[in-house]
Amino acid sequence: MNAPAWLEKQRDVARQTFDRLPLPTRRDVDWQRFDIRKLKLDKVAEPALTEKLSASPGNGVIFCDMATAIAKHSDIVKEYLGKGISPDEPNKFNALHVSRLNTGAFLYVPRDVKLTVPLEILYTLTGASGFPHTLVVIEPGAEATLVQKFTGGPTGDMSIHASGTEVFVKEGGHLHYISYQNFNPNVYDFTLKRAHVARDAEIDWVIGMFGASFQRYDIECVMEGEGGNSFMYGVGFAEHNQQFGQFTKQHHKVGNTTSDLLFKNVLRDSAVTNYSGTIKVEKNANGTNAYQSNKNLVLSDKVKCDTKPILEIESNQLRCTHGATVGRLEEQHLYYLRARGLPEEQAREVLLEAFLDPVLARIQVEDVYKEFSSLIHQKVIRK
Amino acid sequence: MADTLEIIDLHARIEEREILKGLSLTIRKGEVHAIMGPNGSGKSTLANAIMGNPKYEVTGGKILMKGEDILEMEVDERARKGLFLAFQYPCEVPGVRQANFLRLAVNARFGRELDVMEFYAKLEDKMKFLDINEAFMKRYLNEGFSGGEKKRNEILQMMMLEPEFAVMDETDSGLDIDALKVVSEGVNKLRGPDLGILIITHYERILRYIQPDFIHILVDGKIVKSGGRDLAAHLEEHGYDWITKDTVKA
Ligand SMILES: Nc1ncnc2c1ncn2[C@@H]1O[C@H](COP(=O)(O)OP(=O)(O)OP(=O)(O)O)[C@@H](O)[C@H]1O
Ligand SMILES: [Mg+2]
Repeated sequence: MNAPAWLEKQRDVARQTFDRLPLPTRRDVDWQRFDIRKLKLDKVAEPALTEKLSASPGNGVIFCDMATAIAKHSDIVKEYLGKGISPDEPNKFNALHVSRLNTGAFLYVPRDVKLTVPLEILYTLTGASGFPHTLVVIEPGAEATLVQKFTGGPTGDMSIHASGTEVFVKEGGHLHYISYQNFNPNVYDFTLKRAHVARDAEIDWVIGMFGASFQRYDIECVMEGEGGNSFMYGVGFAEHNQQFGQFTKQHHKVGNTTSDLLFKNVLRDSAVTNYSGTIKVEKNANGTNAYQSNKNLVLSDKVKCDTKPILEIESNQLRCTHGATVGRLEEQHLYYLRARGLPEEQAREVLLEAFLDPVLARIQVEDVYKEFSSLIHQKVIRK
Repeated sequence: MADTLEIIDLHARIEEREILKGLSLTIRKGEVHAIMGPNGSGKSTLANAIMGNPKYEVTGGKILMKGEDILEMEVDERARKGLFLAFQYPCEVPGVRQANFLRLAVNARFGRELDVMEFYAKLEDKMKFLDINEAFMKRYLNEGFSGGEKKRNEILQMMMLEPEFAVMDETDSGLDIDALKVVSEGVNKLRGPDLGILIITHYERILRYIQPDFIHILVDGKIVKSGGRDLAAHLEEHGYDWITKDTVKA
């Protein structure tokens, strides 16, 4: 089936952008910490990725795979696709994924429809590349919970996953967004998630980063209407030679908006994490509340853990705090648990999980909370 | 032998400073001993040395529990063998849920997976006894608890773990009178031929509720006087001065 002309055009722009931008190297400030020399983009294999969606709840809600969305709901898709994540952003991997855009999912929740049952998308990478795009539109006064899972990846050869999640939460709308990646080793994951948050709208995010050998996540909230809120929480567990980049941006275009952020990482073996959190407050965005915290628990001397805040603030009436810690397990905690009979190994495991639990506690969907817990538990006990 | 905790000529230090300077004490199951002594005399050091806090270095002497040398054991092994320390300052452990923690501790202590129903029935029973709100179990371990709530929580753990020897480091400090009664009742309930107790305190008050069999006075890392209950009353009235003078003379 041929893609509609407007989509073909976006792919073209993305292709040109991709060709124009060089592959990042360690000389680029955002890439200094990473070794991506194994990555070859000149001969990217044919995409092989499946998407599996939970049942659509009816009620005027559209919840379908991207190919169906383009074929059947072209009018609505066309109105939003590429408007939150542009095909010509200066991001080589975004350009790559948009240039191949034909898989993914679309969620559209009409005005004032409040969904109580969580919707779920499971993406499984079945070959050497995958480029899903998820488009989410929450109309005014609507509410939904979306759970996104990224898994798979062939064992053996290197494979590449580049994806985008483009979200619009309109006036008074509410999206509970939960997402994790648990790719097999050898997957290189480049992911951009961006939510546009309108007046009195809200998004809360819980993002889990567990698998892949390399992942770069760019996660942004764009606060576009007064009274808007974004609560962004992330957990990462990096071990062996895993490299995790986490680039967040709390972008306040308009005042009287709030963004809160907490990212927690556990690093073990020779893992690398690089957290970089931008808070951008535009000139007249007075009455902004922006909070950012990044906490890292380090379990070995060989890990590399970097964290930095970047403040681009042009308003002078705002509340803004940021903080970062890199620490080890507290001896005192260990002693207390052991004094109650827990063997040292078990006490350490309990404390590792405890470090991440405050983020997990934000997950409102019981089954998904359990899934996060069990993914973390398996990593903790090295199963 | 089989039912004693024997501390023999114990020397211990922290950060290069000798705190315990040859302390000896034997506690038999069924007995309650109380230790009183001025600030900084080494009471918490004794408690931590018995429990096996790695920050405290034992430089001489022995501690035998039921005839076994516990200085050779790690802290968690001592706990599983039936030793319990109610901490003077129980620490807050964010992220660890009370109920989960207690379940792991109980399983470790008794060496088997307790049936979930059985566990919760026992827990509920003890909580009711100690007047602890159910909501506490969903909270993180000691996080945001008041001083008194933390102490009560220590006694809850003690009741769940059924130790054979328990050291209670200033469990009464910071408790209001009602809490003190509840906690004392808890301890009295546990009291019996299967448990030996060492209570560390500054106040005679708690000893009115939990009547000790022996009272010892610790000054500068040594027990300088031992006696019966009247010793506590005397201390309350006269302070430690008379003892320190006495011992200096002797
Ligand atoms: N971590 C530490 N580092 C250095 N010195 C310490 C440390 N802990 C305790 N000490 C010192 O050891 C001595 C004995 O302390 P300990 O806590 O055993 O006293 P205590 O009898 O329990 O006092 P209190 O009645 O105030 O609880 C004190 O002088 C104290 O300052
Ligand atoms: Mg003390």
